[in-house]
Amino acid sequence: MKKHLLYFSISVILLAGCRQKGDIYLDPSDPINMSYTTYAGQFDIIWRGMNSYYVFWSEDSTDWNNVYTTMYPKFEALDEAYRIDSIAPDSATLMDLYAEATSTLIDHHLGLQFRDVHTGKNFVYTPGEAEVKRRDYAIGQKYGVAAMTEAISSTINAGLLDRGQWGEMDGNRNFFGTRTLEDGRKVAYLWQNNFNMQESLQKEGSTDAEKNYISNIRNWLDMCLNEPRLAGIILDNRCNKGGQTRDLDLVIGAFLNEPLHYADLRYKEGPGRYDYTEWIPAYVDTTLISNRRDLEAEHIPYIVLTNAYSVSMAETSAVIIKHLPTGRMIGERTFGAHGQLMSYSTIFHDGTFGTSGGKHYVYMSSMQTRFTTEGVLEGIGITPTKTILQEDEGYLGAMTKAIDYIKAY
Amino acid sequence: MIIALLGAFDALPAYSQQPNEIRSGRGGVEFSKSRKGRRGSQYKSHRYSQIDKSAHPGIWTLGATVGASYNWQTREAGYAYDMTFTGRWGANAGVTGTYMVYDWLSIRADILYTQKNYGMQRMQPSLRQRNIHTNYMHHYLQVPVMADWTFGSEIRSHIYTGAYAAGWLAGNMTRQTVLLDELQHTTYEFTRDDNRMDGGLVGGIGISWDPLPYLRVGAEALFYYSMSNTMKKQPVMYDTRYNNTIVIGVSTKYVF
Repeated sequence: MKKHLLYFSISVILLAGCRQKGDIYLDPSDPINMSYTTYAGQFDIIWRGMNSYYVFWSEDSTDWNNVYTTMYPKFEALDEAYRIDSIAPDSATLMDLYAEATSTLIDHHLGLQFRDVHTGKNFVYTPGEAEVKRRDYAIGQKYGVAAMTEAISSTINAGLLDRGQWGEMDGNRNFFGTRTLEDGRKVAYLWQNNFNMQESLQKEGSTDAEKNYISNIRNWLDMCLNEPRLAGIILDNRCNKGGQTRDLDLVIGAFLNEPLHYADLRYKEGPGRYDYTEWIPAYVDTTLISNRRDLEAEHIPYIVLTNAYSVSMAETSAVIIKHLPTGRMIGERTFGAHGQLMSYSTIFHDGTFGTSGGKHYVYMSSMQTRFTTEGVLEGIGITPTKTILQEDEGYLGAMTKAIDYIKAY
Repeated sequence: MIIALLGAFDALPAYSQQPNEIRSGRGGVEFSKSRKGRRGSQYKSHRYSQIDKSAHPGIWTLGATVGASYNWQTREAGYAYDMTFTGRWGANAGVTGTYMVYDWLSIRADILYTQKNYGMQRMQPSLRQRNIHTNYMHHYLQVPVMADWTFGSEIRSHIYTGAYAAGWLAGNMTRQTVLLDELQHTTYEFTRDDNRMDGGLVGGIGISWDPLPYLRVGAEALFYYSMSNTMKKQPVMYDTRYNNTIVIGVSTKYVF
């Protein structure tokens, strides 16, 4: 029997060696891991950072292992070329390689910023924006604040809005407009190029433009809540780059009777690709506004306008309005950046890593968003109730449709 | 299995020699303590009231086992040094059967439902030193095959050595966060990086007793040493997370 026990012990010891030792996860924000001096070393640490910190691996079909095995030799080839003749690759080559590595990733908040290890030149690549530019309905279309300013002017000229006021603060613009229909009922219209409403309402504003910016938000809300002859509300989220989700408590919470469970969020709690937390429910709060208005009871439509450059919070608010009892979403399919961002990634092992302006900086979502109504649509965007493309009907198309809808409601 | 084979090659069937004396009284076969091993065993005294079925080579037993499992993971946390992984208790139950090759060696195989649970705690200084507790519960279907080295007669002692194969069935997480004080419960989603199969070594000790000629009850402690990573092999960033499971249980078997 002793012999058997001996065999057993030896076998256990031998077989115990069959457990392989794993690779150690590297912290991609640690200065030690930023001390690389080669293109391949830079790619390696960015790849590892993405491997751990990216929150959409559960949804993303990108074969991330394959990205490493196919791309790493290409970066090594750059190093080899530099070693031979000390000539750094041109900007396009380096950008193309990172584009090839990340082009299929669905996180549309993703922004890669990296510095050429030899020339010190900085590069920025945003795979999400590149994807949106390739969409058939967005090709050749003008988006942005300038295009929107022009569009609103033509909206007024076309008689779709009676009058309005421009505001500007901290580089952001907004426009509050009204329209009195033939029967005397009124339409409240607000466009803004980002969401920072709650923060803005707490400020005073020193210049006229700033005061206008704040009063535009206040006036729009006031009209939505208190105008007795309100025919409809238009929230124009076109060319809106997103912002603070707590503004949902204003633009949605003002019209709810009870808190709305609009999405579930989850972050990462470990360095593994799929080390997710549970889904955490996210609510629109109704306590911020006391004199809330029941649009359904008063039969008032709430319309949100979107286009391909309605980003993040502009999409989140749109998808909620789309599913409100009197809500309607008109325009183009949105950008597709729904993940929420938090600043303290070291707690959650996900989201943005690196140093802004440093050797590498990867900006991305730190929470995966799953809408209660439509699920995870990261990288796809929200499809409107009524699709009106700018390439067909210009900026006026969606606005015309909105006013017609309110008239007929 | 390897160990079982090693043992079988080495050993001679001890019971193949007929006992030369049968005495009355219950208790089955009893070997003298002074015998010099099984190889050419010399029996000084033997007691036989009847041929004890349960001690014959060739007999089968089949029954049920139930108990508790305690599992913990061996893994690399990497830079996530604020995470502490702890073991957790779970349940274990199933069908167990043996085939007696010699009176001192049986082959045992079980079909078990085994929970391989573990916990993770994080201390967050930035979140006012509050702990985040996450409990992972994983359900497995597990089939161990063991050599059952048996000693003694009235109350038998067992040493089990063998190997097991297991399959992941489902999992869930329960969590107490700092963001939401209530418990959050969610299904563990099987991912592309997860490995559904589990396998490794198993060994342990046990005792058994026959209160009735056809009934065998026992208690045991087994250790399952997993050699398959719960994560799939990755070419670049290979993440290793191995399960270690102790199962303590009791069993009731019918002796055929």
